[in-house]
Amino acid sequence: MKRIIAATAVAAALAAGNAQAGSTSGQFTVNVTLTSACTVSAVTAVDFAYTSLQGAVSNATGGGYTVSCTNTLPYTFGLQAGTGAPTPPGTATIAVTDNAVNLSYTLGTSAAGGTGNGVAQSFNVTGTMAASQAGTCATASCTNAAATNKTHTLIVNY
Amino acid sequence: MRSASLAPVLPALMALLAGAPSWAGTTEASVTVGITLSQPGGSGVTPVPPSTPGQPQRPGVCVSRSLSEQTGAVVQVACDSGQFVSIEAVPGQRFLGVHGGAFRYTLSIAKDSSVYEAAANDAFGWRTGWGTVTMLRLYDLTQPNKPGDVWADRPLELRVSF
Repeated sequence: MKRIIAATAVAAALAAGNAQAGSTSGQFTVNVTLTSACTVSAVTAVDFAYTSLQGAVSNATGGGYTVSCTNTLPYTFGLQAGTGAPTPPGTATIAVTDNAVNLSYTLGTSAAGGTGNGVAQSFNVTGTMAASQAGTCATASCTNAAATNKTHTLIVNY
Repeated sequence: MRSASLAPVLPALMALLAGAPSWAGTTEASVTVGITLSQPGGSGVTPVPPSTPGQPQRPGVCVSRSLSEQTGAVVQVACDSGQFVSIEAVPGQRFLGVHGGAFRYTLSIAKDSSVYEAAANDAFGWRTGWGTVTMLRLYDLTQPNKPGDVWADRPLELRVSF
């Protein structure tokens, strides 16, 4: 009985043995071209609440956005007044006088730029409005909803 | 021959390359600015306190009060009846001199007036000088230009609200 088992094991070992007579190998190269890129999310509205002739500077709220860029890719921000074709790199700040309520304000960004890390990075468009502006409003309060120069452009340069 | 023809434009090409942007690309997003402008005190009418706190304003007297020390600020003229007029510059234009302090004035006086003869003349036939605002006359902004009007008679561009 022991002899039968041993013979079966030898036969199985021979059947599982390598069938080819030899082998050779070659190397190959994988070429990857990565085009760096950034995407920017929609910017939430930059909101000012201003009381005519107020004695203090008004700082805007809102203006949040996120930027996602290729890892290690540096990028900078620029602003451009209006909605015309972007002309990179834009400027760090823009000064605008709203043509509905006649209030002047300055917009900037919370950082000059950054370095991509593959995930969304958060920033803000900042806004300041100087004190002691009268503005134009024939009623108790007004908004600039009718302004034709209330939309501007954020440019991400990379 | 070819290199010789490129020689004149080579510096320009080099300058173009040197001035080329260093970024590989750009992406953009729109930024919308919303503004809510409110009147002081939360209403369209701002009560002006009497000139001397604690003392009632004299009947029939209107007092002008500046709401700010800044150039271009709103000036209010308030009367004892409680009515007042707010005056400020037309948007986008300067409104100097009607703000409580000294200002330069220009008057046009009819040439047949004795006042005209008594006053010093300047090159333009106007009376100019330095003074303090004590009265402000509002012209009819719709008044047409009549024959004989001179430039200084034209209405001041003021916005008045009650």
